Amino acid sequence: MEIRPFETKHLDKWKSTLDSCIRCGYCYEHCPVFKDTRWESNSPRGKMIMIYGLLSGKLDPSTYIADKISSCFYCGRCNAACSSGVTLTDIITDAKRDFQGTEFETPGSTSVTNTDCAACLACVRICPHEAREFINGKIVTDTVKCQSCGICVDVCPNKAVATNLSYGTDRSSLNREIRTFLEKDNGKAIIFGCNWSYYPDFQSSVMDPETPPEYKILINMCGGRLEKPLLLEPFLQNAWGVLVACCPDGDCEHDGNVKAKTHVAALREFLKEMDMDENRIQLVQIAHGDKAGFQSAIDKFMENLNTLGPLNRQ
Amino acid sequence: MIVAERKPFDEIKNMVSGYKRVLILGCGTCVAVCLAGGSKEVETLNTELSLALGKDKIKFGTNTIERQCDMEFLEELDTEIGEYDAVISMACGAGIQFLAQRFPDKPVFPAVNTSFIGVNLDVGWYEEKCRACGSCVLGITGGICPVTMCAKSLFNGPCGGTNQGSCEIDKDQPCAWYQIYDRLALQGRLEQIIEISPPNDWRNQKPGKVIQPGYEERVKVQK
Repeated sequence: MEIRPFETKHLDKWKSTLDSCIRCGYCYEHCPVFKDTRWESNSPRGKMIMIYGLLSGKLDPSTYIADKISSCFYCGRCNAACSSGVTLTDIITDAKRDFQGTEFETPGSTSVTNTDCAACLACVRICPHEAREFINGKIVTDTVKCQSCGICVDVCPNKAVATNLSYGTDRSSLNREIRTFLEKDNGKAIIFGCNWSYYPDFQSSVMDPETPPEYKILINMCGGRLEKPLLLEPFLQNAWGVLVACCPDGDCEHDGNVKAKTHVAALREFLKEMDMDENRIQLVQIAHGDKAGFQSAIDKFMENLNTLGPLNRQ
Repeated sequence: MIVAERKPFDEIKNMVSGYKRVLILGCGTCVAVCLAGGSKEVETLNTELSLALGKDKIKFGTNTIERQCDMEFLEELDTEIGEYDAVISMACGAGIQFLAQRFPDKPVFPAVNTSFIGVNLDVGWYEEKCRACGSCVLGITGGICPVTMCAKSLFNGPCGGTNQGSCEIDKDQPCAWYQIYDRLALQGRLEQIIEISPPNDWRNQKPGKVIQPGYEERVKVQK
């Protein structure tokens, strides 16, 4: 493909909008990318400053900057939190458009396909954003269309789809968190929570509790990328139970909740076959921003789990 | 491609419950494409078996090779196989047998049921299209296989059971020969429907064998 020079063609229209960003930083605590690395340059504010630099000619484009800007899960929490009403994700998309096709284009948090790909086309067909295409014998991700939801990661039969920059959402990071937490004396359950809807609100609303909770909430970027082995991993580490929280029907932009429901239903059947109580794995659908609903679902789940007791594996 | 379905978990579990070290072996081609036996399914089965049989009772290992129906890919297992006393194969029936043939002292257990040769209609949705009969008549049947699609596998149809487009066995089952009629009519070669195809010789079936033109000498030398 022909390499084109970097121009701020799509970004130009945002010049005045960027001026209205007062750099308050309210977006910080809502951004899963920032929360994973704690780097200013990974925060939405940092991205806006870099884009401002590109527009004003004070920063030269680079793959490093492109990687930072292309690292976005489109949860839209920054837009909601912005005190100046800046639609940051639209600006990020236009920045990705300007980087696309240049020597600086990088995948960031978007999905890539490695050589284990069997060209089954499942990811092409299932991608809710039509971001994957089969071109010249290879699966190619459109870095602008891809919203890093991870549906392709779950569907790939050969584990050929991954993200270079996953910000804690990849299987090995999540497995590590699961193991570390469940090694603790009172670690009982893993809660998978979706970042798109309620989790950041939930997190920002509680202070560090005096007694650490019996459960750990892990951010998966969408219920649709919860692979079956990941959902079973806590049980292998002697967890008492697993709760999956995803969006209500029709609310998920990626239909990830449909996928999560299918997986959880299959695993409940599996637990029954194992003579384990199927209620050790449950799914709840929580409306956007309903942190009280989320907390009460967790409390109810934990109450039931404490009645069931520890997992008795032979 | 060859389409397969994973066996019920209990069946797999019972097959290997008497062993100590078991390799779960995936196949990266047809069964991977039909979401039944690629590395993802290997990982899922490994997690399930580890949970069900206890990590300490049986040690499970995992691997997925490109194709279990090619000896060069099976060769990759030559050193590793000694660590195991049984193998669960997630390949199709052909792959499983070739694996068992290469390592005759290892019990090999199938984790999938090989279903058919078919096509991919959507993610996870497959339909049978070919029975590998060895006498392809698609050229005169408008590209619709009567061996697969007709309940009687008629080479010369239709029969009296065709009923307004459906087959007598089930109204939801289209009559293959009705479809063939429509297709040939569409292509303006309806007269071909009255051609008589010689009967396929289904008697005394031996395992099929194909040697492509130009490779006869090579095969002779290897024998």
